[in-house]
Amino acid sequence: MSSSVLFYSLAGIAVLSAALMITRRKAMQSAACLGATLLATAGIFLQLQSRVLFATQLLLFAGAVVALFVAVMKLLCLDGVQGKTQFLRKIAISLLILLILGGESALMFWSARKTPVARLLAFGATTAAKIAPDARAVMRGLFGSYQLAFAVTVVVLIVAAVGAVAMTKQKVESGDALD
Amino acid sequence: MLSIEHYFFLSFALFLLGVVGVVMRRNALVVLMSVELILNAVNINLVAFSRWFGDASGQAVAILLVVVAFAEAVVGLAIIAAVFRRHDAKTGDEKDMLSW
Repeated sequence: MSSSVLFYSLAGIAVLSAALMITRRKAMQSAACLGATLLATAGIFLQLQSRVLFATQLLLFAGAVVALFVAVMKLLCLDGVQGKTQFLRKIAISLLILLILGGESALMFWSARKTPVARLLAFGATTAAKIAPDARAVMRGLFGSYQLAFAVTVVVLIVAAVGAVAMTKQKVESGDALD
Repeated sequence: MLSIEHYFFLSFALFLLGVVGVVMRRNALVVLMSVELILNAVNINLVAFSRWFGDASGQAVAILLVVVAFAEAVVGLAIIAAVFRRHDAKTGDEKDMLSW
């Protein structure tokens, strides 16, 4: 019972702040709403007994990524506002897309329940696995089966860091040098 | 634990909102935030399925996905910063800078 209440509270916060994120006109408010969504998601990870993901989400996603967005916004003064008419037109289009995708997904779930594939995947089963994977098992997977993927990710991260520095590096010319 | 459909629907809702954000918004920063939202939705699915089947592989992949999402955010923000500095634009599709 308490886990249901916790899940619905966190899921409600996540969905509500995600909806606010895409509808706020100021980018800074959107960043704050993104932070709230990511924090609520971290809570859901904790509820799923995934402590490693909880910590990673808290430090990397909700911490570093949101801070990075805010820093870039402040650095470049990018907290721009769209025109109101244009914004309302976009909202109408997005509502239409939401309606279509929502209807499609409802149809998908309704039809999936009656197929043998759905039964094979055990959708609607009553219990999960008894033992949740602990941090040791996660790390064993990360440095065992997924060792190559881990190494590739490290390379990707280094390339991203170097690329970001190279892209944002300003060429100081003699005429417009900063004082 | 709640049934897996709960997590599935939450993930789907966040994914959908992310897609709507990418389609709807013109501000390049908010588009990038929406992409982060989509990746976050995928993570919820991975962790829920990992817990459901009692297999740690899903969480290991989710950790890798978090790192890749972080790298994507870094590169995306660097591109935006470089483009905005060069062209002094306020939105993503101004002057067709981010279209192809």
